[in-house]
Amino acid sequence: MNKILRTENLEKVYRVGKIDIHAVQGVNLGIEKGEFVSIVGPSGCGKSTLLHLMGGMAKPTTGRVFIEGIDISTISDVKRAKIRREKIGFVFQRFNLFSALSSQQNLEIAMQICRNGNVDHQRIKEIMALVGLENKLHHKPLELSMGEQQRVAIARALVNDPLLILADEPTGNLDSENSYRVLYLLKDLNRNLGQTIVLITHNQEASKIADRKIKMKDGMVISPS
Amino acid sequence: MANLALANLTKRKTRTLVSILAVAIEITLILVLIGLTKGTLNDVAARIQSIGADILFLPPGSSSILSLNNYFMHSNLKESIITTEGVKAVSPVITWFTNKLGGMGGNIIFGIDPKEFNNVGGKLELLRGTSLQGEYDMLVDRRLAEANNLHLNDQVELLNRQFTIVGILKVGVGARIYILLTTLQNALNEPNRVSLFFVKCQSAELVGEVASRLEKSFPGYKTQLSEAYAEDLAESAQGINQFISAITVIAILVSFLVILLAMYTTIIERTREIGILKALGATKAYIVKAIVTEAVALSIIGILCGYLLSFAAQTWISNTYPLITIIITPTWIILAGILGLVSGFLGSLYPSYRAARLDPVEALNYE
Ligand SMILES: Nc1ncnc2c1ncn2[C@@H]1O[C@H](COP(=O)(O)OP(=O)(O)O)[C@@H](O)[C@H]1O
Ligand SMILES: [Mg+2]
Repeated sequence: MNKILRTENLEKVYRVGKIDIHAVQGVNLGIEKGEFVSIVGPSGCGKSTLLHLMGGMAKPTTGRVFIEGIDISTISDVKRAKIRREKIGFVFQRFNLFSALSSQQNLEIAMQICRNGNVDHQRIKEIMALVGLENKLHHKPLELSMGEQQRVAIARALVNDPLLILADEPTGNLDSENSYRVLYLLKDLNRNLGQTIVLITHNQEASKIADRKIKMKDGMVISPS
Repeated sequence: MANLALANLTKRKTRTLVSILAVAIEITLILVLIGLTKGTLNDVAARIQSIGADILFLPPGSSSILSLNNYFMHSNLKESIITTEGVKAVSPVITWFTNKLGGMGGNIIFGIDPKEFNNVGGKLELLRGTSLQGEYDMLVDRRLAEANNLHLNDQVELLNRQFTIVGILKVGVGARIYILLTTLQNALNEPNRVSLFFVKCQSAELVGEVASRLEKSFPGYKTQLSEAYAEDLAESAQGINQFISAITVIAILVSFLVILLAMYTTIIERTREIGILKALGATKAYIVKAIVTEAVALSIIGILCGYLLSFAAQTWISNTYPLITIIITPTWIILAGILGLVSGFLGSLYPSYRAARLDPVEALNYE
């Protein structure tokens, strides 16, 4: 077993007024290198919260997240930022590209952040070709279709060769044709490059693209139990 | 990162323009105000120095700024001054201040004896016309003549008398307006009154000695070396300098606040973008740098516009008010630029600190 990510009794509690919301409770899971895992569950069941905890965007209330054996729930903000830029590639439902910048510049920023300002234009071209957008390097997000924007976002997630891609409802804003394209792009990345991917979705259909499915409900993993 | 900063500048045009304008005005205010003081002081000093006298002999209590003086002495002091060892020539002058004929706050008039004035070195160079002869003759310099559209033989009313312009002087020696010593004394009803004596020494090496001899012989009276006039004048102008410092500080504060506000609204507007940077693993330092870079870019554009605006203001002022000189020196161009950069930099520090501290998930979900 080669688990690159592991959680241990993961809990996240949001306090809203006097009410505690247990967004994630008692989650124990592991992701192995090269896996394509989907996490499915109804809206509000805690998927995004779990993904943020796994990717070092937020700290758990209790419990731990290990990435390559390092417990990222107790390290400093600075170190967690380093884990994010070096190990994780996020893909979001809303694409989250910089709207004022071209595709190439969006990838450059991710590269600069990770590599201390150094940009490898050759790699940017290769990655853009990998997502089928080698001719859209100089387009800004609004000059691209939604499907293309998400593929640029996937390219950005890939550009620093991450250990793990965490995709939060990447097809949530796409029509079915573009959804398939994005899902099969992820599938190809997993198959051909051995890219480890965690796909979060509330869509049962979309979750089937993964090799393994984790079901969530009310902040808990219900299957496999 | 530079890309992101520059792209943001073009995206929010009004905000960018207002910030640039604030910095530009800061720069202009500093450069024009300081240039105005420098120009005026230099002008005054250069005029006095170019008279060619070695020493200004002044009554007790008087200041180096001649136009501020209200102190007088008796003209018979002249005999004792001229007999002092080392003195070659003495020229009594009575000064009078008039609000007429333009200039910043008015003009100083010298009442002189042309022959004695020439003997202390005051070569009044005539461009046109003749020297002072008749009782109501008047000389004006070219700039004053042009500013007031005055020509030879024109009449000018002064001290309830009609003067005739008999000569136009080259600019830059002593006052802009000259009349006869006796005329001014009579007009003031003080036939023996003198404001200062210009003293010429027998040789340049003697100037220091002569000055101390004069101070010894005339306790309380002041001697002002022509050579040191520029510095002494600048020192007497402390009040002006304080005023300028105050205006400068206000200009810096205003542009600091405008940049602060601009950058603060920017980070609120772009909270989600900051969230993206955080998701990409940007450190706090990176985010601070991105925002400071943007503010500094704004400031640099503002500074350059400020330089243009300053030179435009300089040209406009010297065309509209020909008697006013504004000197914009390279030193102050650089200093003003540094002040502009510093205020932009400081103005962006707090917003960038706030941005860097944002929670990644909250920032990313910000609507
Ligand atoms: N910042 C927050 N403050 C309070 N409650 C939150 C916050 N974020 C999420 N929640 C709550 O936690 C639960 C899980 O949310 P989320 O992880 O976004 O679910 P999902 O992604 O599966 O839709 C929901 O009930 C949601 O309202
Ligand atoms: Mg969600």
